[in-house]
Amino acid sequence: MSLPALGTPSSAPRTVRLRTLLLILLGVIGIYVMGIFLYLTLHVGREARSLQRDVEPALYVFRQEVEHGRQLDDAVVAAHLLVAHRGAGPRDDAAQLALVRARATAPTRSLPFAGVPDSMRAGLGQADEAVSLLQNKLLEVAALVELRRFPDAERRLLQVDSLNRGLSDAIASAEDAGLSDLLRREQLLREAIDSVVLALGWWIVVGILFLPLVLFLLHQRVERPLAELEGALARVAEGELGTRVPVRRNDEIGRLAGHFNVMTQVLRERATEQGRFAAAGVLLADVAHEVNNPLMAIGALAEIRLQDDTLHGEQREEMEQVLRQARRAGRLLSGLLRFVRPAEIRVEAIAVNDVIRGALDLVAHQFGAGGVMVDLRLDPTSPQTLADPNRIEQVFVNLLSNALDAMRGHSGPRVLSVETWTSNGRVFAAVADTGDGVSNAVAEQIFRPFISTKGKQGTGLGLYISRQIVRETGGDLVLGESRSGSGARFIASFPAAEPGAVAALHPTPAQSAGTVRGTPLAGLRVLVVEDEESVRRPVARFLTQRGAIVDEAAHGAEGLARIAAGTPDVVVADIRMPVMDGIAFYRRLLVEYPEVARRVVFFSGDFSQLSHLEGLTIPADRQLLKPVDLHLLEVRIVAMGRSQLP
Amino acid sequence: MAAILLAAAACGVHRSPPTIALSYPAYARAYATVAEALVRPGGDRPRLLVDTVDIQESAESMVAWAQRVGLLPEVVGVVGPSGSRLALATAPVYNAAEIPQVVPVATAHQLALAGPWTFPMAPDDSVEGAFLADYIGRAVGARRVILFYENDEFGQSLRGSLLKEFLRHGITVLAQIGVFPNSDFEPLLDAALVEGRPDALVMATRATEAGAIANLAASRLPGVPVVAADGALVPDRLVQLAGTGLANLRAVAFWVPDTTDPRQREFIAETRRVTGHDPDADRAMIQDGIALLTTATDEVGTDRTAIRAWLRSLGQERPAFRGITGLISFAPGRAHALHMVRIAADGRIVPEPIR
Repeated sequence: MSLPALGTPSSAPRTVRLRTLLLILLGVIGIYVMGIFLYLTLHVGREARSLQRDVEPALYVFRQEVEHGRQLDDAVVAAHLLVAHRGAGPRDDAAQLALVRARATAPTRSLPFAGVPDSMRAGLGQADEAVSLLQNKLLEVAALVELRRFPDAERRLLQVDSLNRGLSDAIASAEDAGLSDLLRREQLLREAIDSVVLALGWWIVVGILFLPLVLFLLHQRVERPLAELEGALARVAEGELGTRVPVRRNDEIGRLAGHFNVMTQVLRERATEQGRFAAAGVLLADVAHEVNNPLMAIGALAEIRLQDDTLHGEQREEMEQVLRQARRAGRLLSGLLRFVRPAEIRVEAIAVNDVIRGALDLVAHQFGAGGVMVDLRLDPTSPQTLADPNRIEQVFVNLLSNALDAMRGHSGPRVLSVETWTSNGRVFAAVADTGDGVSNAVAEQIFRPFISTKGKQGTGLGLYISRQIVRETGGDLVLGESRSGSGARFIASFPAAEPGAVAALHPTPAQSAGTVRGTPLAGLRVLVVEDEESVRRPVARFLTQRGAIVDEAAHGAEGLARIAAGTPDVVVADIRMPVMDGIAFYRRLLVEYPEVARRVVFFSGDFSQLSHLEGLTIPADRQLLKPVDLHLLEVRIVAMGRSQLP
Repeated sequence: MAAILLAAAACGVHRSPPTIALSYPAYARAYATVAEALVRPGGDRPRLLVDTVDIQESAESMVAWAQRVGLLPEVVGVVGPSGSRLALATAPVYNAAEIPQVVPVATAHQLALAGPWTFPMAPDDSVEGAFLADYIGRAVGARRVILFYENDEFGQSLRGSLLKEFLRHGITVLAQIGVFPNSDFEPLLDAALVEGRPDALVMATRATEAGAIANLAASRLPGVPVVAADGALVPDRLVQLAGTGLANLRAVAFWVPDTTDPRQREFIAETRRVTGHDPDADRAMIQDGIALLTTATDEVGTDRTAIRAWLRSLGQERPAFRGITGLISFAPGRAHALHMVRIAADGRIVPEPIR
C-alpha cells in the first residue's frame, strides 16, 4: 500500500480545518434537530393553537346563550301561567310576575363574541337578537298582565312562543355551526398530525442517510488519523524509531502527524548519535584499560622509587614529575570514561568546585589552541550538594563547551570565567564567555529541546538536558545577563546539602591517602590478581616493601588456586583478565570463599563492568580506579585487613 | 425582468389604489361625497369605499362585508360602523385582518377591549352615563326616574353605567324597560307608572323609541322631561314621532355645530349642498374619522401597522388631531366635550344651557 503525502503537512492537500468541519457538522446536526421542532411548531402548533384558542370562547358563549334560553323558557312558562290565571291564580302570581320581569330585563348581550369562530358568529348573533326580542315581548306581556289586559297579553304570548322557538332554532343553528367548525378544525389538526408523522418519517430517513456520512467524515478526519498516531506512538514506545505516519491533510491532525514524523526523525538521529557515543565509550574503555595499565606501572614504579630515601635532588624531582604526569593522565582517562559511559544515577554529597575542576580537565585541551584565558574564582567555603557527580559534571562540560564554541570565531579577547559562590543556602556556579552573546529571540527559547545556534554541529538538547539535570537536584539553570555582542553567562544553582544528609551518604569519613612511614602492612597476607605483570609486579613489590606477605596470580583461576593453598587476608584484583576475569573470580569467591569475597579490593580502568554483578553491590571504598595511588591502596588494605590481624 | 414588468403592465396587472372603507349602508354614500370634497381635494390620497346597496344595517351583513373588506390588501383602514352592536360585531373581523378600525359614535365600553386595531372616537358609555346622570340629578333635579333602554349592546351597556351613576346621585329607578323600535310602548309605560310618578324619563334608546315615549309622556306625564342618550339624536325622526312631547325632550350630542369656525361652516355648507340637511354629530364624526385615516396615510404611508401606531400616538407622542368635532386622541383619560341639546320644531339642534 502506498502512503500518500508522507512527511510534512505542507505537502498534504489543503482541506477544511478540522475545527471548521466539526463546527459545520454540529451546525448541521443542530439545524436537523431544530428543524423537527420548528416544523412541529409551525405545522401542528398553528392548528392546535387555533383549536385551543377557539374552542374555549365558543363553548363559553354557547353555554351563555343556552343558559339565557333556559332562563327565558322559565319566564315564558311563568308568563303563560300568569295569563292563564287572569289574575285569579294562586298567591304566587306576584312572584311569577317578578320572575318574568327579572328574566326580561336581565343583561344578556354576549357580543363581540371574541375568539368565536366566524361560522358561529352569525348564529350566535341571531340568538342574541332573539333573546332581546323575547325579553322585550315578555316585558310587554308582564305589563299587559299588570294592566289586566289579558286578551292583549294572550296575543303577545303567541309572539312570545314564536320568538322562543326562533331562539331555540338560532341556538341550534349556532350549535351546528360551532360543532361543524370544531370538527373542521379537528380534522385539520388530524391532517396536520398525519402529515407531520409522514414528514417525521422522511426526516428520520434523511437523518439515517446523513448519519453514515457524518460517521464516515469523523472516521476519515478524526478516528483513522488518531488511530494511526496511537499505533505509531505504541511502535515508537517499543523502540521502532523509524515509524512514520501518513500526513493526509493539512488540518490539525495532519499537522500533528507532521510534528510526530519530525519528532521520530530527531529521535532517530539522536539514537544514531547515542549509538556512536556508546561505541566510542566501549572503544575508550578498551583504550583506557590498555593505557591505564602502563600508566599504573609507571606510577607504581615511580612511587617505589620515591620510597627510596636515598633518592635526592634532581632524580627525586624527575621521579615525582613522572608520578604527577602519570596520575594526571589517569585522571583524564577516568574522566573521559565517566563521561561517555552511562551509569546508574548515584546521588552523593559532592563539592561543586570539584566537579567544575573535573569538567575543566576534560575541556582543558581546548584552552591553549583556542587562545582562551580562564578566570577561575571558586568559593572554597561552598558547601556540598546532593547530586550525581557524573551528571553534574556533564552539565558543566556542556556549559564550558558551549562557552568555548561561542568564542571560537570571536575576534576579541577570549575569556572563560567560572565562578562559584554561596547565597541563601544555595551554591551558585556561573560560566561566562566573551562571545557574541545570545539574542533576545534565542534567549526566549534557548532551554527548549532541539533549539540550537550551532546548526548541524549542535543537537539542540544540551541546555535542555542540563537544565533537567540541575532541576532534578532541586536547583535551576538560567541564562544570566546576556546582551548581543557582550557574551553569555549561565548560572546554575544547587541547594546546599544538609550536614545530616551528607553523613548518611558517607558513614565513614574519607580516608586520607597520606604516606605512612614504616611497615603498616606487616603480617598481612595479600593476594594480587592481575594479568599485566608490569602492573602486578610493582604493586606486589610496593606491598612487600610495606610489610605485607604478597602472593600473585595472573588471572582469576590462578587466584582461586592460590586461595585454596592458603587464605589471604586481603585480595587485590583486576577486572579485565584472561582465563577468568575479575567478575567471574568474585562470583566464585562468593560461593566458595564468602569470607574472602568480603575482603576483595578491585582496581580497574573501567568500573562500569561491575554493573554486571546482578543483585550485588561492591562498596565504593573497595573500588580503586587505575592508575591507583598505591598509598591509597595501602590505606584500603589496612582498613580491610586489620580485623584479620592477631 | 423588464420584459416581465412590461408584460404584466400589458396584461393590466396593477396594484389597486389605497382605500378607506366606510362601513355604512348605501345611504351613507352622501358622507363620502362630502368627504371627497372636503378631506380629499385631489392628489393621490386614498379613495373611499362605501358598502354596496345590498347591505342592510344588520350584524350579519356587516360582518360579511367586513370579512370581504378584510381580504382587500388595498384597504388601509375602516371608518364605522356607527352603532355599538355593529361595531362590536365587526371589530373581531377587522382585528383578525389587522385593519385599523375607527369607530365614530359607538359608545359601548366593550369596544375598548375589542382589540388593538379598534379605535373608538366617542366617549364610552361610562362617560355618557355619568354626564346624563349628572344632568338629570342636577339640571333636572329628578329623584325618581323610569329608565328605557335599547335591548342591545348600546342600550344594555349604557343602562349599566346609568344605574351605577343614579345610585351615586341618589336617584331612584322606578322601572327598567327594555325596548325595540317595534315595542308596544303604551302598556310598557303605563305598567311602569304603576310603580309611581317619575320626575324624568331616561331614554338609553335610539330615536324611534325616544320619540314614541316622548309623545306618550306628553299626554300621561305632562311637563315631565324626557332625557335621551346620543343614540336618539336623529332630529328628523324625533320631530316626526315626538309630537308635542318634543318640547320636553333633551338629548346628548357629541358635537354641536359652531358656525364661528370656518371649517365647520364649510362642512355644514357642503353637507347641506349634498344632502339638503344640516349635519348631525354622527356625520361630523364620520367626517373626522375619514380625515384621521387620510392624514395618517399622508404622514406614515399606507402600511396598516404604521397607521395603527400613528393613531395610537395621538395625544401622546403626537398632538391630538384637530377635527371638526374638536381634538381627537385615543390616549387613556382623554377629555370629551358632551353637550345637551333640544330639537326645534323645524329639526334644528339647539344647545341647551346647563345650569
